[in-house]
Amino acid sequence: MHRFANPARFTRIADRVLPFVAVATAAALGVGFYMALFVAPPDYQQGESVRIMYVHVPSAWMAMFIYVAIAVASAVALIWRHPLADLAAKASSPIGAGFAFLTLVTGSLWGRPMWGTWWEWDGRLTSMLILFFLYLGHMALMHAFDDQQRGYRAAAILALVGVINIPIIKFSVDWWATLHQPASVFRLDGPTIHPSMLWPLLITAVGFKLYYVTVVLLRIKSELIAARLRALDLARLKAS
Amino acid sequence: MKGLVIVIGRDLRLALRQSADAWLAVLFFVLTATLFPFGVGPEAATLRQIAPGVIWVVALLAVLLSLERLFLADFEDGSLEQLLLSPLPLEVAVLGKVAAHWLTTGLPLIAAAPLLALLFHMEPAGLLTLLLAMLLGTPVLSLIGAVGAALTLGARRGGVLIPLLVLPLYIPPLIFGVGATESALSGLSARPDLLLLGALLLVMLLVAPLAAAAALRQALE
Amino acid sequence: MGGYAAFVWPSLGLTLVVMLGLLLSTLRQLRARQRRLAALEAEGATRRPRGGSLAAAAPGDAPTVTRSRENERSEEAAS
Repeated sequence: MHRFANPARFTRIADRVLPFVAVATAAALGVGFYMALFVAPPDYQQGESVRIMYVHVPSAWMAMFIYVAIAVASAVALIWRHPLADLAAKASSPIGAGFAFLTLVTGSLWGRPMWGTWWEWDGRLTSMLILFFLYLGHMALMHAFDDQQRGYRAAAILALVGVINIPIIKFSVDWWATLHQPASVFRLDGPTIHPSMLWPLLITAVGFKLYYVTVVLLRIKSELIAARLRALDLARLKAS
Repeated sequence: MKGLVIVIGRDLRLALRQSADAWLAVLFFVLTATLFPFGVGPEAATLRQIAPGVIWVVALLAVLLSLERLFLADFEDGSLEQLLLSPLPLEVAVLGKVAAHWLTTGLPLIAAAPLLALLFHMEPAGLLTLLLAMLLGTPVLSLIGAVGAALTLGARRGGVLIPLLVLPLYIPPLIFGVGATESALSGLSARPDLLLLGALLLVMLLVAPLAAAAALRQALE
Repeated sequence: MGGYAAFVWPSLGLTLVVMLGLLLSTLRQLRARQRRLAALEAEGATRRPRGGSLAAAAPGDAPTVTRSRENERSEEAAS
């Protein structure tokens, strides 16, 4: 694993991979969005508003996926002291926060015509709101120290505590929502989905995932340069 | 075990010497709760309905307020480093400090809770469950809070950061704590919520000292 | 859009805005840092440690407070 710890090698591999991933991202998102808007049929119950699902659901998947990715990176960083894992965690959390934010806003935009309200304290939306707060905490802690290394370490511990707590939070919020909710709340995504809707959804989801890979590679590259700049500044400071 | 007792004893002695801190938390607890009747009106029916939620939320904020000083004094005067160097495992020392924190913050809050129940016209039937739930729930607040306090040690704006890190993690104890009290008030069994609170306490007893000790180690490096 | 246009289009639009915005800000930051690094290397005032540039930024030689603040400022100025 430490073979990839060498920043020069990482940058070389990233530079080689990036063009392909970027093109694939653009293609998947283009096709996915086109299908979502113009090809997929309107839902027999929700009408055209179901098209919001094609951005809402992949965003929610990404928001959850990226938190798990951060937790895995954090574990790798803490156990093996792998420097790239720290950078990957730092690079990921703004993207995850962005997707959590998108999930909340598109959920609200979908909820307005479906539930008749901009916000419903529904189990899923509430859990996503808490996940959004967890992302904000992770980002804030990452930047809270003058010594970047401490920020990495503290944020990694927080991410692991967070990932242990996410199932607990999810369970407790569901528990609470079923107690307090009128039973007739419309569910945002049903368990069964017709293939004509599944395909656009899957293609957009793949596009979102590729987008994450592209941006995270760029951000890690950028962080590597920042680390180098810090080292150069320090060397200059010592020399003077 | 002996080390644990020593840590608790030392922290308790220190807390007693500055007993104002514990009083402040209780005062905050009562004072903030008294704001609610002014906000929602003094009708007994309304107050009775919001009582469990208000008591829990205010207790949670009172604990939050006391978290910053949990490790800070020891960090600044170097005794934390002594703890790290001592043969006592840091995890056990953290557990001792959390226990002392709970005895000086959580326990006084539980003692003050009946007063709030009275002010909010809560039915006596729910009082025992409320106290029982707080007995299980407030240690969870101290444990999770210790992780937040340890992580922000030496951070810029550490005091502002703690709520951001800790409050999302406080939601499960809040839900189960209020749930238990509300069940008891409406004549249902509070058992499931209390059991869940107990399970949460066990999980946090395991996770929190580990995480807090890891955070302290990297703060002292 | 069957009466739902006011909800569907903003959803998609906002998604695109957020995704593009994050990508562009990442690219801008990357460019700014690359420029600064190129400028520093052109100055030639520093011999850069080969292969271990990450290690050079390791905890032992954490930059001082004032210095790292200065970096942020100059990075912002560059972007």
